Amino acid sequence: MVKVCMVRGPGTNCDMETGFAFKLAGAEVRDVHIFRLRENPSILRDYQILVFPGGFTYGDYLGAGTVFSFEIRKFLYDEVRNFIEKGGLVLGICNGFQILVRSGLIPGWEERAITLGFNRQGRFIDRWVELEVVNEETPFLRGIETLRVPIAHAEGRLSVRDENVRRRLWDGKHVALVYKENPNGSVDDIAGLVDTTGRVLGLMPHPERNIFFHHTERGGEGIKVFENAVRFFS
Amino acid sequence: MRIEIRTREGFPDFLGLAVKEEISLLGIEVRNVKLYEVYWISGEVDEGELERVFKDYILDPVEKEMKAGGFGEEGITVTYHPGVMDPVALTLKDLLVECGIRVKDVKTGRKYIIEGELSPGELERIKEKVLMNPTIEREVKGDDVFFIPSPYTFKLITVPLLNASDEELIRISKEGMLSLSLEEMRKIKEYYKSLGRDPTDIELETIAQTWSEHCYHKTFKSPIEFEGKVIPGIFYEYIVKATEEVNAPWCLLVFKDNAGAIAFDDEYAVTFKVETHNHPSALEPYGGAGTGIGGVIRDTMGTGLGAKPVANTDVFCFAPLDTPPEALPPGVLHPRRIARGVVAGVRDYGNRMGIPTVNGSVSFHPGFLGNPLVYCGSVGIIPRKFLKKEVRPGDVIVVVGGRTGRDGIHGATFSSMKLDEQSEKVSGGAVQIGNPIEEKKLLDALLRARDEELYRAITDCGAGGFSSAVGEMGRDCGAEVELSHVPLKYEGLSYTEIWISESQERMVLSVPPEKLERLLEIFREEGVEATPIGKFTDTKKLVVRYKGEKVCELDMDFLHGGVPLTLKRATYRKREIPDGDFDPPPLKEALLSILSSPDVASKEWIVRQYDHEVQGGSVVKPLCGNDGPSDGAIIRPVLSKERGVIIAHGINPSYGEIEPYWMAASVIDEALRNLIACGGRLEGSALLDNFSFGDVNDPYVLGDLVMVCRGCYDFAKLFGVPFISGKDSLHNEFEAEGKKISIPPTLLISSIGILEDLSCALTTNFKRDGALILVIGETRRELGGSEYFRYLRRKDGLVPRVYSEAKDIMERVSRCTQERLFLSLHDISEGGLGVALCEMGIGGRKGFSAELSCIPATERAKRPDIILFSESNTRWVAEVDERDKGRVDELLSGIPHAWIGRVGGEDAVFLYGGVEVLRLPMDEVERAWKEGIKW
Repeated sequence: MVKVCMVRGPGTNCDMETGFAFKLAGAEVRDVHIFRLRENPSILRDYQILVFPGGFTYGDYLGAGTVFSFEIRKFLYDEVRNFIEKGGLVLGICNGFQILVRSGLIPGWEERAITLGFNRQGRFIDRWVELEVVNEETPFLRGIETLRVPIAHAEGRLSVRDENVRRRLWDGKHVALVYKENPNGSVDDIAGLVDTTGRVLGLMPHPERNIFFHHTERGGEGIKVFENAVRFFS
Repeated sequence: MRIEIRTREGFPDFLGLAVKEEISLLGIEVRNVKLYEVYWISGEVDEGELERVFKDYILDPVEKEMKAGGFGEEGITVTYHPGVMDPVALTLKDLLVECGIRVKDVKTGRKYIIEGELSPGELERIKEKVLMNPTIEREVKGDDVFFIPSPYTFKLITVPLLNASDEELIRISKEGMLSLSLEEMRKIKEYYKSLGRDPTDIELETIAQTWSEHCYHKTFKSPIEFEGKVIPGIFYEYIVKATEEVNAPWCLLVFKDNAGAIAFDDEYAVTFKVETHNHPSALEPYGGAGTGIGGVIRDTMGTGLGAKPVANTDVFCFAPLDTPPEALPPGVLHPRRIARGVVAGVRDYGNRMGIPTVNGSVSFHPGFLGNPLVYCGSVGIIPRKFLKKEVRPGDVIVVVGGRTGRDGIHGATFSSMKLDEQSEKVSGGAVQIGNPIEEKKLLDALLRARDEELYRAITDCGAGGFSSAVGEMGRDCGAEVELSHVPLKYEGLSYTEIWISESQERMVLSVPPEKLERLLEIFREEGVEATPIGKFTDTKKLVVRYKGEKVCELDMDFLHGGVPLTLKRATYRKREIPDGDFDPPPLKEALLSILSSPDVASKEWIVRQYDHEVQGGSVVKPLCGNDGPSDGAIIRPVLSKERGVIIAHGINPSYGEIEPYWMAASVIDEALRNLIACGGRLEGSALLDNFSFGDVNDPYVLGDLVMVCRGCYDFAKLFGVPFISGKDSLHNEFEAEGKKISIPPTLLISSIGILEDLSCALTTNFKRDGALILVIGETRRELGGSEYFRYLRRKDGLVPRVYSEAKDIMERVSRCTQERLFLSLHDISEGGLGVALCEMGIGGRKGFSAELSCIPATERAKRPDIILFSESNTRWVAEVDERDKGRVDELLSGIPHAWIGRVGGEDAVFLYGGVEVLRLPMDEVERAWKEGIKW
């Protein structure tokens, strides 16, 4: 069975449904507290998929995902890089995406040149959005063209340092998902990015919140993301 | 050491822009506002080292820049008062410590740089109205921000009571902010006479907390003389009795424990509790509402052995947002500021906890100017085997969660007092800022410990702090506490302060000694403090020590059974008058105006700020289709089970102002018809009652309360739906410059039910062109308190009644929904049928045509305007596929209903006897409804 390491910390709050989606997709899911991972980073080696669910880790005080990404960079960075090099998949949803960007795992460049800033409305927004997949090469998004999923965040506006960085994101095929209608002021309508290997995906919207018929008109679409990840190893 | 962070040139500062927008709401235009983050760090700190940590780990490398020592620009710097919870500072301190920086203390602030020409008066207004709230914040010049607490030296304080005269008793109660009446003080004096000693200060405080209106609900338990008879107590006589007589087998917990509970299925129970947090929200809306929602979530966590919170609700009552600033009495915040602060408070706490906020509403009335109402509800799910709790002598008392500070001292007694212009100053300590992440960690740890069955009982530390929590848990056996073991936020707290502090995010557990070690281990693993502070005993005494010295010894029986209940007098003043004849106004203006009126218009601005999808179980959301309104919410609380919980409510202060008894009937009907509209059934459902009233020492206000309780009894009985929990908030009266502003009698009824088959869930938006439109229920000339009469500025009219056939109608509608005969269903409430139809059209992005003359109506109601705008109860609009018409007619035979038209087209079209009486393009309808409120 494909094993998923779901890392949670103080303030993670989408772990239950994210774990549920992976289980529904056929994976075995372990809930691992960041404190345990810090004590023994090598436990990551038992897993094929690493997921950072949504939430408000450490309250998002000091900025969304700041403290959690500090823990990754200071205590876990090499082990996570190693996990990626060896072919593991990493998924970061919402706060998980913020953590991946802040820790530099996305886009995985030497320099830190992108960020997720406050929405242009200056406040939290919850709404359903339509996404278009622009990079089908990443294992998570194969065979998916569009996705209907909700966003729920205050700091989800992708921002780049300059024009070169923007171009580099597109040229390097980092852009994975775009909004059909931009909800938060994100540059080039970007909703999700992958790293240089394509095996690390981060996105602001929540695919785990659209896995049942009753979630929306096209209910259930989000499960494909999780099924794809599991299928990658089978 | 000061560090400032700001947005780099070339990037937008959206938070600064939001402040600019708030300033413009004052009618002051400024060029630009820039918002800087400010951090002060004390200790043996190396500046370079600190800067490196900030740059490496904290600073956003793209959009932000920082400067140690500050950028030097002139600005207004605001920081919290000493001792106010500052979660950002706590987080930063932990991070710096992990980086090996020898930090002693951290403080945060905000610096505003306002560009534009402002007079000193304007600047003061901006500071006061937008930039800070003096209740919790202050402006600082320079860097002198750290609070150095003075150490505490123990000294036992006794209060000379034994020989006190009545005047002295009153003075002792008032000066100690005890809110105890003379009768109560006399009773206490008598008790201490029998002991032959004076009370200690902490004993008196403990009694005051336990006996407070907030904790003991004296008004609901006291005998009341009314209409020549004595009612032994309205709580037992009306509320409890209704539930007993309904005798519903699905009730699992009623009126005990921290929330009520009904059966979800054979394995799980659903819990529900709704609280008010009115007084704190009036003074500090953000902190008041945040700690309100935080508190009610802890009620869920403290029900049985701890339920898991799965949904929040929020219902607000404010004064009109367009109240002119000059109309505000001194000491009152503008309703817009209250609204924005309250919404942000609920948002930041609920979202951070990861609990979807799924249902709510806002009512507006000038009576809420001094006393806004903030209801926060929490729904939980719990395995039924964990519903029972017990405390056994010998169990260890363990406090878990946040540390104890001076926060919220006298919250319980404060909430039982009237507010006045001085409240802001004297009660500042009762207002707090919450730390939701502390509570989330506590929840994570608690559920693990619960599942391993490591404790036998739990309760939250709410009003009254430890004094209430430990006093309540140990009431049947006894308890002993050592206060010096309680972890403190800072030194300097006296033993009494520790005991009655209402610091947030704390709970108390009763832990069998053999399980203590494992319990502490789990809490350690989750990064939550857990500390044994005493044990439960079999002495029937509450004993409290500080560093070994006994400071309190009270008999539990006296503490919990000694409250003297005095006879109160109530009088009912009837003020409803039937409406006279009047000519209908032009319908177009009337309908558009009602659609955009604050009680009716879209609340999307609020809804969008709440995460209503988290936990992944949404079925019916607060907005449906093209962002039309929902009648209630449905969630799937256990993802592996295809079964839902429906949550809805009813509230109508405008009816309460005119006719309290029929308001109660109407809001019960509304709460239940909303449940039905979502696909629910009466069977298996339950109600919660939340009473908010003015000063109940006024016999007329008390008379209204009695009538509302009677209504609760009569209509819970009629529908066969029990009350499982409730709360009262009395004394919602504001006094300024000798003038009293009292709230209208307000009853919030929340409803909860189970949906066995999620495919029967219904939303309000029209689904299909050509489908038939059905109106169910009879329309009467019931216009008192209606939106229509508010528009016409008429004060007369009868408020809607509820008739004996209401239960039968609801059950038949449920039959239809269970057979999935409706495409959409919407209840008819504020604004009447016209609004209901328009809302269904907005949600479905479809027009419709409706013939009004065929709608079942009484003779006096047969007029286009009355049929459009009457707010008669027990009515719905349904959308039905033509092929199901026969079956629907069959199920509704004998029930007033009519097929009034079809869905489709671009316009909302109303006919009367075949003649078009009103046509409006749906675009215009949508705009009126969606843009009605200027937040």
